[in-house]
Amino acid sequence: MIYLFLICIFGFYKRKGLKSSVTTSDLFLFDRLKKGDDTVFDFIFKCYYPGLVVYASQFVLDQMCAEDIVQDVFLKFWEKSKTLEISTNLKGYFFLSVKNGCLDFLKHQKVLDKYRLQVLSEGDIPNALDVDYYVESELKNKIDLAISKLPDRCREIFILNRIEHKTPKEIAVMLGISNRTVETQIGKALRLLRADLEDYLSLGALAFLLINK
Amino acid sequence: MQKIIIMELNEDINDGLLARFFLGAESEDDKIVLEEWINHSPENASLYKDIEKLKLSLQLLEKIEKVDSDAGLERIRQLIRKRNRPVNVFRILRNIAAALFIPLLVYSTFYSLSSSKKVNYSLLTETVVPNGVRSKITLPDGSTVWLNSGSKLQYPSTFNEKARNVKLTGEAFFEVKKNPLWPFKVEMGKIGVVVKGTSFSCMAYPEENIIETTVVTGKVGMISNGKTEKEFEVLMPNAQVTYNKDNNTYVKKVVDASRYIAWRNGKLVFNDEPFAQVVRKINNWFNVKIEIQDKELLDYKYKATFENESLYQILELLKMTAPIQYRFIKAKANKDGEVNHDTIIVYKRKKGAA
Repeated sequence: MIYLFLICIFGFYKRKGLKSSVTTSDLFLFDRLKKGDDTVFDFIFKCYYPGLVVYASQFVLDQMCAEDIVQDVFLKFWEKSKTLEISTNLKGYFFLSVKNGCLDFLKHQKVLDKYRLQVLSEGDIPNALDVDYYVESELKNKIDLAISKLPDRCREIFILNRIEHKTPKEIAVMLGISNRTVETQIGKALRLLRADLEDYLSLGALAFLLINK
Repeated sequence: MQKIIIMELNEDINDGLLARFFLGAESEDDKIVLEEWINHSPENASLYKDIEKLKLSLQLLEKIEKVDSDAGLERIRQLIRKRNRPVNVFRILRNIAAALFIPLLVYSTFYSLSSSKKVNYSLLTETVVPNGVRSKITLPDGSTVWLNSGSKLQYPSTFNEKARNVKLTGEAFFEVKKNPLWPFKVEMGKIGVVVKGTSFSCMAYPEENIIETTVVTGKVGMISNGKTEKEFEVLMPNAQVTYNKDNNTYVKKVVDASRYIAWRNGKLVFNDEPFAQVVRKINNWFNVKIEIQDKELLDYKYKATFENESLYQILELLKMTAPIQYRFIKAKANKDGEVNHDTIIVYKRKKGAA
């Protein structure tokens, strides 16, 4: 299992640059899957499921429906896994399938959603719903690493705010400093994070923000 | 005001303002300053955009981390198992029997009616509805009966002797054809129900210590099945009698009858009932086996209505409203390739654990 995990991490890093081609890790996973290794299915599921659900809920705006759509995709994947020949990478395959599932779902919805459907399917919004935002391990590793590099005071305050959801006021009381200092430290953290995450932030447009509005 | 803006533009933006924007806590004044600052240079605009992306990424990450992938995986496994279930000869035979049942019933009714009326016999027919299924049948007199999961109804293939007697185990909703001369009687162990033409619901599961009768329309007489049949209560619409088998007492109250027959339309309803009954209902409804590990959970009462929710969704909702936790034990196939129930163990959630 650990070996598998390493292979996948390796795959994620390698993937940069060859977006739509099959990766070695994908081929390896597929090989195991065809031989009936159930742990591989579980592994793939846990890698992609959370991100796919959030991705789908950007389309259908409902967590339950999003989960159903993603589960359906995985069920089909499982059924086909013994015979499936992949021509794209797993990530591409899953995100495309979920997107199609969502569009199908919206097609059967009321007129109200027709507009939404049109926007989403025609939507030549560049990099719309860029899938890179949704693969938890990639996103999380990058951000966690960047946060860990912040200066001590700055990091402490940023974590109190983001992870423990404390307001600047609460943090100020907790640490015995002024509200203004807390805000300044958060601002400083933002600048540093931005500098550190430059590559990642330059990735996609924020098209799905538009969709949410 | 004007002065402040100019100062900020020249000096690059203040960290505090950036933080307030990131936290969504900017004031009206902040907004004006921010807009001026963004328009001031492409670098400023790019910094603003990046902060917005960062904010969004963190929000998405939080959402992603909240998704319960274990539960999702469990659901997938369940679906996969369903598709993989080995062909069960018994099940096929049962389906064939079910399909043939009504035509045979019609035929036998017709046959017994058209054949010599002097012969006064009747065959006892039994309809069994397994767990996970609900069924609707028509009795020889034209009355309709809906049977809930895990129920059994016995009745003669023809009603005669001016009586319409049936025997119920489980839960059923009756819509009785009016016939003042032939009373319709439902036997449920120690007690029973006599009507002439009404609709009502009865619940008498052997594993439960209560027998419940709820009236929807018309008048329903409650009888005790001793040596001499005795009518002890007459119920009007929305009245409900809950009879306790252990101490032979009963409680009469007024309820919203529609909640007690909603299962007919595929709704799973809990009416402020104890956990033991909730579990029995879920077991019958989904054909699973839930085991309660901590006896103190039995004191919890639930009130809820479910329509299209899956077993998993219901368990999750129950988990949210009571300190319970559960785990699945996969159904295993035995030697004959027959798969028994999935078992779900429910236990008390320890304090502090999520």
